[in-house]
Amino acid sequence: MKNWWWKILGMLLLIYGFTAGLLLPLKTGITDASPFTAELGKSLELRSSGYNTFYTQSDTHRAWLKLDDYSIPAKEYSVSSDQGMVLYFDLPEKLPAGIEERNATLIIDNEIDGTHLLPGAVYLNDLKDSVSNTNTVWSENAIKELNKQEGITFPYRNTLYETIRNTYFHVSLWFAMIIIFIAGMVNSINYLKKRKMDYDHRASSFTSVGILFGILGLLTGAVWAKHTWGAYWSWDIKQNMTAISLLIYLAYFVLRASISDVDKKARLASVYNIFAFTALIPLIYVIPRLFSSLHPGNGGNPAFGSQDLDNTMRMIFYPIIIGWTLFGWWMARVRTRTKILEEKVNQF
Amino acid sequence: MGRFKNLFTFTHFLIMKKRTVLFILGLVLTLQAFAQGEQVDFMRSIGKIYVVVAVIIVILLGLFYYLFRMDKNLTKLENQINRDVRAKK
Repeated sequence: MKNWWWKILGMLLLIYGFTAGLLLPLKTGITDASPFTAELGKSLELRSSGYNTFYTQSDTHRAWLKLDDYSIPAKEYSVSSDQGMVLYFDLPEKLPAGIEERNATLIIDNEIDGTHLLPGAVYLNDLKDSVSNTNTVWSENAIKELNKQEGITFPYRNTLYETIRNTYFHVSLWFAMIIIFIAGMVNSINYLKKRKMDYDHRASSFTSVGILFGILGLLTGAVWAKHTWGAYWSWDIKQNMTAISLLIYLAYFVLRASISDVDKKARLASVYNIFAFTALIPLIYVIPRLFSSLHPGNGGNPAFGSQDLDNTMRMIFYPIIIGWTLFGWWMARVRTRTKILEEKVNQF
Repeated sequence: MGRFKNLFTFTHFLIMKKRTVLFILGLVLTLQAFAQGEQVDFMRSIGKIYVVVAVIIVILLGLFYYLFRMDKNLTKLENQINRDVRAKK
């Protein structure tokens, strides 16, 4: 028990992360509203589709079309199913004074589902034939007393939908990779200081697991990107820089394979490992932030704003990082022990 | 990477294991062809949940591959030890 408590801990954290990360539902949202355009000064019949909603369970619904601080409430509504609702609006003749934005946000609110919305749901065109059949006006700051959905849920994001769960499987792998690479580099430094082969075995094992995590991170990122950005590989700065830093790390093993003298191999590889880690940090964390990128956390924004990671997600995200790290540590330990055994066998 | 010491052995491998290479190539191309037609609807159904499934499968395949390689290294070591023991007898 003394020596393997952390392995159990790693497994438990991963089981917790996978279970909670896959089972908790998303918040309610609106996937779609049609028609996409509307004419000011006319009546509008808007069909909206909800996500994870239970429209038939609430007695009353409220809905608005919102432009900046101004809004117009729905005149009537008819619920067709748990996910389907038809909303009727009388659109005012003109845009609110001083507002140039024409993409109105659709907001629906009820007791069970809470408030959910679709930004840019309807594009408002000007009145064409100058005959208006409505007499409504925009009201300012009229959306009040909103309901909150109960229960533990993950944030709902358009185009991401359920794939927001990949935060636990893709993003956490990168965090674990960095910790594993740091462990590898520390062992390389230790080798250079103390010149004991065990440190070199450890360094090479940690680096090998780190590369595995990195490649998996790149592949899972590509799969995720295919269904949110539209392509496996968009030649995005984040993707390119990550690929380069992984190639630098792969060269670590090319270097090791090309030197037959054991001490020389260990010495050169240790020096190279320190270089590879120092190259990794600017390539992955600094350069992509200086440019615009499709990847979240670039173009000057902090990596995790409240937009992408709320407190519920943090409760699963941080444990699963520790889980992946301990799991990687375990794999690296097994590889180290094999290498040490190999060395002993070769000595006799 | 250990078994491909240079480009020559790599090309040699490609030529010798023609059937394996062709099989993998065929598999990738078939999957790609399937992907063109059905993937868009399937992968986007139920809030894109199958993207999460695909990501988890990729991670599992990677971990299995790593375990497989460690297993192979250990087998090699075992065989070597067995040979040494037999030689001493």
